[in-house]
Amino acid sequence: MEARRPPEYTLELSADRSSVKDVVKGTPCSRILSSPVADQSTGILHTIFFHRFFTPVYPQTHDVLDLTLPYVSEDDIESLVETKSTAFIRALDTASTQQSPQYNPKAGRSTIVVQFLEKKRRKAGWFGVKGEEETVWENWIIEVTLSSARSESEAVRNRRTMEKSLQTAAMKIVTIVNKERDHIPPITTNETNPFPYHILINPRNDGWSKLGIF
Amino acid sequence: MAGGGESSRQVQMTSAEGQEKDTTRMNQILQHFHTKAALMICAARANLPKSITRDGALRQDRWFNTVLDDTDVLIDDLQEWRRLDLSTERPPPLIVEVYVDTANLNQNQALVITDDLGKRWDVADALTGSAESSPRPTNRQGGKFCEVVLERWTIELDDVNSAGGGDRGELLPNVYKKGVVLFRSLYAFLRFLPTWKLYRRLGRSSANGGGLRLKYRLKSGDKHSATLSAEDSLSTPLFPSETIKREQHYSDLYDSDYSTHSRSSPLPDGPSRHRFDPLRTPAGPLHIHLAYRPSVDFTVASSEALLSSRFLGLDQGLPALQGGRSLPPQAQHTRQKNAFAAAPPSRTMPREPRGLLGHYGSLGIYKKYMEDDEASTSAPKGSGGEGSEAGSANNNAAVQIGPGSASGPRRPSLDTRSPFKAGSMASSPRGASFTTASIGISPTSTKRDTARSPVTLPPPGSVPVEFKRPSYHPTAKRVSLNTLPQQALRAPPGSLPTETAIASSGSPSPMGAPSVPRFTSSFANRTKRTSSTSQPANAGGSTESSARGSTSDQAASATRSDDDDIADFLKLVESKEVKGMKMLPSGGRQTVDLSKYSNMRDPSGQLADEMSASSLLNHGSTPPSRRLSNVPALSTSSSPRPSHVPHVRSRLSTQSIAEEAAARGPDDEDGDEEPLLFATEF
Repeated sequence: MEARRPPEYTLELSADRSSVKDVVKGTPCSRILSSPVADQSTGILHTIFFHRFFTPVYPQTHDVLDLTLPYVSEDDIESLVETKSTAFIRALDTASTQQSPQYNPKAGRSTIVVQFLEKKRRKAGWFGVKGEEETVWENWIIEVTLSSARSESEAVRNRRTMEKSLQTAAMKIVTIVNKERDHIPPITTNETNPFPYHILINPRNDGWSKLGIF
Repeated sequence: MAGGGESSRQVQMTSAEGQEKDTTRMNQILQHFHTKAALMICAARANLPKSITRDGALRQDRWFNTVLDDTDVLIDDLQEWRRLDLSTERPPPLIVEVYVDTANLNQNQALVITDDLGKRWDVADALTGSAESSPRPTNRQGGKFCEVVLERWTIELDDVNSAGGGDRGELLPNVYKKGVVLFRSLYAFLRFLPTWKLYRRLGRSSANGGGLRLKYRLKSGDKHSATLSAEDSLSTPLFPSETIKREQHYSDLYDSDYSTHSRSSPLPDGPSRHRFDPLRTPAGPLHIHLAYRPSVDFTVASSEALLSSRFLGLDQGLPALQGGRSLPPQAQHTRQKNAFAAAPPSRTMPREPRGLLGHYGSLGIYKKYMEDDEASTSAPKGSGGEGSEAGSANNNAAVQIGPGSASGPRRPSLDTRSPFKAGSMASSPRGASFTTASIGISPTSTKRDTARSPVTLPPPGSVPVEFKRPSYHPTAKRVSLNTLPQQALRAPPGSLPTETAIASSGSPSPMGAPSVPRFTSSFANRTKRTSSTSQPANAGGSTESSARGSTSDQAASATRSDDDDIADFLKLVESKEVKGMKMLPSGGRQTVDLSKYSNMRDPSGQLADEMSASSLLNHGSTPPSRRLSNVPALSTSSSPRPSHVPHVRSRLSTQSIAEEAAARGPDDEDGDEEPLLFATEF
């Protein structure tokens, strides 16, 4: 089991760079999260968590780009998602300003990875110490592609693309979580969230996939 | 839930106690699967009244770790599944239908649906089958009655040996765990559907006089009855292009990688479908299927406009079509010739909306006559010639509009058709009353086939008075009339201004998007209001901090609360409150004062009067929240109106409602808060 790579689900979002920049430039933190990119990222992240947070949840929703998405109103998750979204925006902005081709062949595309882990009891080691090890059992890869609009009409088109990509991504989450239910590890507790999670921003392509194999 | 090991021990226990416990749990899972699914669906389509325990606490359904506010109004209908017991019999499928009907419309209103081209179609006419001779059903106000099912959800336990497969070895905690995921996804999915947007739109316009409400009903179904919805309103196309759109919507909604698992092959003339992967249990797989309409852009329109468009057609010299059956198809829908080909009235196959000549939304007839000479034998040459002469002039402009979907800020077509920008009428997007005349006319530019001359507006002169020939400029007015109605007719919430261009009918399909912005704007404010307001249900629930994400309930405690619930339930059953509640579409609980409508004897005359009055107005002063379809209403706010005018106004216009309410009192309004399911007064 440990040697097998956990499933990876890829979601693609598109975002308009110009709107990102406008908001990020010189705006206080709270404003950053009102950018479409941040909204999309937050929205998708919450949607993922909504399907993986196994303690009882009173569903809340918020509207992102005219799509109603669920979110998890747990403090831990909310603050983590916010923090990571902000960092993601900054990373996007940094990447987009560095136009040199050597920097990133996929300039304009950034990735957030959400990992869900399970705690497993490590078999008694040499010293009889039992511990818990965390293994990743699922990876969600959110690829955000930035587009820039050179005209207002292009901005409109980009906006539509953004909305469309968000809807598709949200629907894909719903489809995936239903189709793939068998790999969810057994739940041993109902008190707290049984599955720890990580959110990674732009992990190295060669490196993050190994994180699932500890 | 106990850990996996413990459960497997229980499963292996041969003692009667262990098995009994398992059976109980299995029954509970089945019971709550059904009831929770019904609750979740209905809660996302209607404002369900909250239920309070005897301690004053909010009653909630916590099953599958998704906490929902519970309600009492479904209890009766869910009886069969609440007491589900596999040892007695297997449960029938539970069907939840979400629909709209015209029970609350007055006789001067009609239910119309806007297709993604901005055309409006009378729903009652489209649904009334081929039986033209049979009397049309009416609602209690004397208006046309019809009902359109928007969604049909089927929740059923299938046979354990069925293709989906039960899983006899599946441990109940695993079933529960997977059920959590399923219900979370159901919750999210409910809000991706077009009916969700409709629900919010109708819910926002609480001052619409209760004309249109989403309603639901629960019923028990035969094993595969849901799939045999051949002739019911769910699968009846309401406009010719609807069948095409269904397929498009369907494919848009899913990523191709996972589409094969999540959908059945789309039927060309059936509703869109979605299938949740079944929840496999030892007793069999639990399915949730959905058949739904992707186009749910319903609005209430004034019959005045319908009548006026009829006069348009007659003046134009077009023969009165014998019902809708014989209406020749529009050129752009030629691929549906088999379904909509010019057919004798006796044809019963689907289903051209009826009476398209005088039809509210059917520019089709005019287009037809203008462009498709060969297909229509009934097209009078006169109109054809007339159309083409103006049409050719319009052609270029129209061409710009149609394919110009990528162009930036969506302006009303007026701007691009500079040669035709003439007169105050043409320049005003809000257009005044004369747009009623052309309400039936669809945007010309939507035709992709630029070889044809698009339109079609019959000379406005055919409409009462004002627009008689002397003041009529064949091209200018025609163009303006074409464009204005587009904006006028654009049903609200779907149509967003340029910045946000989700397809208007609520479907994510981009097909409608290019034409949306053209029609916009008057609803921009409304739309923004819609999208910015938080969920009322959730807002209400947020005060219940104890419920949210708090300490979980074990299954055992759920059992205990079930017992409590049962006790409460029994009490409730005895209370007259519940006894009085019925799941009726309309309880007939309010009377409508029809005396006001007695003046409405001569609709066209009144329309003419109002048009003449409104044409003098400054059109630009119309507030954006006006629903332009109901044009006479536009003028009411800024000019003195005779007392009989209000009835022409659409209930959906908030401002007019306010005025009306002041003038008439609330007796025409239904309880805005409650779905019209209850016969009891609120």
